[in-house]
Amino acid sequence: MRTIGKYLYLEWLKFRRFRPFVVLTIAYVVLLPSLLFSFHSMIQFAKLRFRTPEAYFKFPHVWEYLAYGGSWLAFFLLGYLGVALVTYEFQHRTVRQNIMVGFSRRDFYTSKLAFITGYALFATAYFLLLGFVLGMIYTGPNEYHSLFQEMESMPFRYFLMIFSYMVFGMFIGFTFRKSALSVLIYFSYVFFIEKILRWVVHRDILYIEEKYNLYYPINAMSDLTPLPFEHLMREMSVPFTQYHALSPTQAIVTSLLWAAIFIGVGYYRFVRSDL
Amino acid sequence: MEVLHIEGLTKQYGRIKAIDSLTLTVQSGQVMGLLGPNGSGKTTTLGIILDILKADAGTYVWFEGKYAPAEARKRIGSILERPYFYPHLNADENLDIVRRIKDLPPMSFDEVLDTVGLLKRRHSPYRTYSLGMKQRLAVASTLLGDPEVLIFDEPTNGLDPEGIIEMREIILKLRNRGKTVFLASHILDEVEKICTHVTVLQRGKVIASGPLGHIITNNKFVIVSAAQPDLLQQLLQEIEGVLHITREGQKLIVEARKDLRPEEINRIAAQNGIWLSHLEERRMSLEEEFLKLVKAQNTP
Repeated sequence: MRTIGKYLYLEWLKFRRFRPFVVLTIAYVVLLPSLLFSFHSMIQFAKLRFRTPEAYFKFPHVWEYLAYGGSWLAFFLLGYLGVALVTYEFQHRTVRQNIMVGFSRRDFYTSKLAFITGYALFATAYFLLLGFVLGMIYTGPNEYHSLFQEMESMPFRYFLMIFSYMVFGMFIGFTFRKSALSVLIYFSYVFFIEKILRWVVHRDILYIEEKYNLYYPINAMSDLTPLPFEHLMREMSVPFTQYHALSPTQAIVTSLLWAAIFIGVGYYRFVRSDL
Repeated sequence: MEVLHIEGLTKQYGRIKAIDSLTLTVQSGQVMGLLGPNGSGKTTTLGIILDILKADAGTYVWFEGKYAPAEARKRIGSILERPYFYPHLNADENLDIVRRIKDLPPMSFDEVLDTVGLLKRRHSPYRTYSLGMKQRLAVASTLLGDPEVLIFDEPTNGLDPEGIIEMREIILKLRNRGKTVFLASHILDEVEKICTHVTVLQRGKVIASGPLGHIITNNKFVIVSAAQPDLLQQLLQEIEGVLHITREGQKLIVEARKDLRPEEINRIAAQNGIWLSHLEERRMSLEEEFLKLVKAQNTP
């Protein structure tokens, strides 16, 4: 436990003034509530009527809407942060320095993983705090009891979502090492490579027929905190159409497996390669 | 004590063997120079023993296996190729990261920064440093915790003349304090001035290894010339202690044992009515020695 503390603090010393770390963290903190408020403005602007006005700010649904926004931020910002935390070390060869002065390969890898875990915990704590504050403001006092309704495994799912995006970014960083190349590959993969892959393999971009289509890493990670589609449709009195996503449990298991694969393969290669 | 033992180390890059079954031992208190032209495998060797590169075959053991490899590296100060630090952090912050990885207690960096002359700029980010300053910080970081063993890869590379002299002084001081130093260089003069032992590498193979005095033979050269070189050559061949004479135009290059004194040559020449127009004594330099070794290696 003391070693993990040492790793965490060391990574903190390395990166607390690292610009991408600071900028992306501020962006996450600012954008997470902003996304929900922009959604609110869009609803107002389009004059869409919800059965329960501002349901997305209220318990219990605030968790789902906020988490959905969070998954976009993980996709755009935090996965990229995972890439940057690793490629910076390769770009400036500080990975070499760390090993030369007495880290084992395992120490180095574990400290990265510890830092990403710590960061995902921070991001989750902020999400919970924000959801709680918004919910308390917008939910009427006699409905506070609904705070934890339908929350299911939300805190864990949110944490796993952030963690697995960052682990994926870290894996890309350890694999490709060069920062520009890794960033390019990260965004290409999350934006279209996975979709192309799914199309090539299953010929079914909308994944209506083929259920295996849903088990790809980025899809599974985003299904951890999906858009509360059913609720949205119901609130807007639109007949519910089928929405294809993994169930929370399926998404948890699939994402855990992918994260384990990325961590395992990344480690296996890192301890054996030249730096 | 054996500080480092390398056995049969081999590393291949594609079809090229960067090092080929390299075997080498560094004893405590030695200043071992790893000498060889660029591309002879010096940095590859140091990279492997610091776990930056993975060998294809062979083993290495630090401190007779007393510590796990990473623990052993905490007791070694090293510079490889060029300094590696976090560009956005200043000297103190960078040293603090090294200190923490090495599990050293909290300490002031005043002394090491003073030794390398970086006190004034300690609070500037590393990225604003000149190459010389970066190198100095690297030296400072090797001195943290006063390690018993130091590894320097081309330590004077990219330094200005003043920096080169300072760097040599630092290494000599370490030597005088009984530290074990393992130093790679392609500059023969550097190795000759600093090292107690030398290992010569060529195309990844050890072609000579031992105390500096053994690698550099005790033979010396005496260069003479006179109006009658043929006669002079005949005379010199008779003298005891003369090993070999090569002729370069009017000049005779006499390789001789170290106890042959130049005045002896002068006296014999004069007795035979030959007046020398040139008489110069020279010790064989490491450079010539090196070329000789390489030549010997290449002629089967």
